[in-house]
Amino acid sequence: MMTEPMADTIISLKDVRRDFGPVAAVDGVSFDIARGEFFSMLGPSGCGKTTLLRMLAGLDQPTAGSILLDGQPMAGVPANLRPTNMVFQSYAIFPHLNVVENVSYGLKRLKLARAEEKARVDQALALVKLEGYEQRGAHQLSGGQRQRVALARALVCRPKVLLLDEPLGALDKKLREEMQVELRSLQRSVGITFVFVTHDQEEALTLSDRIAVMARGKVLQIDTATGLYERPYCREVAEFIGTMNLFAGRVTKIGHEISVDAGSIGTLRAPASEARISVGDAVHVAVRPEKLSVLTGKARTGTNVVTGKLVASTYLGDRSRYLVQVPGVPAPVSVSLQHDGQHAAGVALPGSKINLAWPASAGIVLTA
Amino acid sequence: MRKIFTPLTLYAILFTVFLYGPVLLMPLFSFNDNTFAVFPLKGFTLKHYASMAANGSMLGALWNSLVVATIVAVIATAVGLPTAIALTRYRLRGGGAIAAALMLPLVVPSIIFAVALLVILVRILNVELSLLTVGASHVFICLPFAIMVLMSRLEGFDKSLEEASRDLGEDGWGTFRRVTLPLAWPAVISSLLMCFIISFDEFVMAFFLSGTDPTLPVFLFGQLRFPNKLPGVLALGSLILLVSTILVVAAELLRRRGVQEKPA
Repeated sequence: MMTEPMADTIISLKDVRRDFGPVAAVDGVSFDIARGEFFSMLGPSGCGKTTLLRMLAGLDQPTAGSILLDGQPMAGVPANLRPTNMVFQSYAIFPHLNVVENVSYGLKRLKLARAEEKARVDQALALVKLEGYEQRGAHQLSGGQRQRVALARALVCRPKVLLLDEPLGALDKKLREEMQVELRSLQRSVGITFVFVTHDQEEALTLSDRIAVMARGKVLQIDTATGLYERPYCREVAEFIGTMNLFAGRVTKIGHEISVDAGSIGTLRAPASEARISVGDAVHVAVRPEKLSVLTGKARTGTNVVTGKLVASTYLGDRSRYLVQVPGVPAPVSVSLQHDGQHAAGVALPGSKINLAWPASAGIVLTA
Repeated sequence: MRKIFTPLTLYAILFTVFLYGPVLLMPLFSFNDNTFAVFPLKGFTLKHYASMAANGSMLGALWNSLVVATIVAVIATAVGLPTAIALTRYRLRGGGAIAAALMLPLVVPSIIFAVALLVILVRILNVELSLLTVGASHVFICLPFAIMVLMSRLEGFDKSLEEASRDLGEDGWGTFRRVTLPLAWPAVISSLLMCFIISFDEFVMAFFLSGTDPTLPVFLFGQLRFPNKLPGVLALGSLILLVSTILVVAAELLRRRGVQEKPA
């Protein structure tokens, strides 16, 4: 699950571990982040993503393992001496200071000439579109504005890496979507490496160059959004990113395709996998809802077919969503049918028998 | 419909009268033209205030108390602030035990501490009793109050504010100076006021530990043997009552302002 070494690495984690008493919040994590990358750590709460971020910031220390930041080992380097800045989940806007004083907080220590300090603050405020709010007090700001102040305050220090701890979590849906777009274009314009922590998979997929999916202190997979969606390594990633239909079975034959005996459903075929699989292994054949189609005629060769009963259909405008109960499969199979403009919606009635098909190449064999 | 007068209202009124009535008699008699504090009232006069102003030893004791209370308030708050920060910000080993030990003066009768300190100071350390020994004992009993007031404020604000300051390049001292202290400021003021009041009217410790220079409560206690000095005492008492009320109200207003700022 290691990624190959990158040409221009800014952050390098090696076997990083953080124990809180008997619990390992971060359990032996190793990966590299490239300079200029928008990198996300995605996972449910308690998966260790925030602890990892705090260790990058220097607000927490690893129990074991090493962190290299731009080639420098970070062991023993306190937060105030690291080339990182953080946008906190609560934004941590200083309540006794106004917008300008908040943004210039990290510059005071540099003892810049007054004109230069002002220029840098103005530039940062312009970047986050907060011109004209200079003298506002911290309590006179809305959630979105506080988030912008937190961003400007961190960026004005020109960090090598900007750390963001669920910065959009406190905003309402519309504002969150707006800020996602802005955050992405901001990252492109400043060219700083962003390390972004979130539990919202859609947010991670929208924003990131690469995403590390985490659970129980471990990294399950690091990949691009497409990679995670199309080629998940394990069942947990497959189910965390989008919806995935799973058919349990045992491997019966391995060739250029893998054959899986899925009990009452019959034999399913899937492309050969990179994972080590041998005949007799218990596996899942996984297939995304949009890869399935409703079969009306005869199945073509190289196609998997399952039969079930339609339990629910939902019309969603551009597509319809079917839930099909297949005997021998615990959860109803989810099908997403794109409307091509000619097909009328709601062809099938709930309760009717329905055949679902997908090409063998669209499936994935998951071992865990 | 809201009932204005219920048995509970009556109870509350009686309770308040019982609590504060005697206190209010003091200013009343201080303006009464009679050496004895008895009804019926005879007439309005300011002569007790004049005699108070002429009483040099009483004013000396007042001055002693003011000096001791001011210094005690500053020391107790200055010691209490780092203690409160340590107890709220760090996972101290045995932090609970330390906090409990620091709060002991709240529950142990001060006469026990007074006797113990007297024995230690006089018998073991051979220190001469003075305003210094009174002040030291007052710092001791004021500390729990200072720590409580400061801790409640420090617990009230988001710890990520201090982390943000560290993250933005400030070291520990810079963070204390630029974030922690300004945010804790209302509590620092109310701690100062509270410690001042506690030290100012503390009697037991002062009685045991003062030397030839009495604080005001100790001096007043001595005056009670002379009935003709009573009106002067009443006059001074009324003034002190006025000043303490102002200080306590101010401290409470500051504390409330601090609490209201919190959710922002």
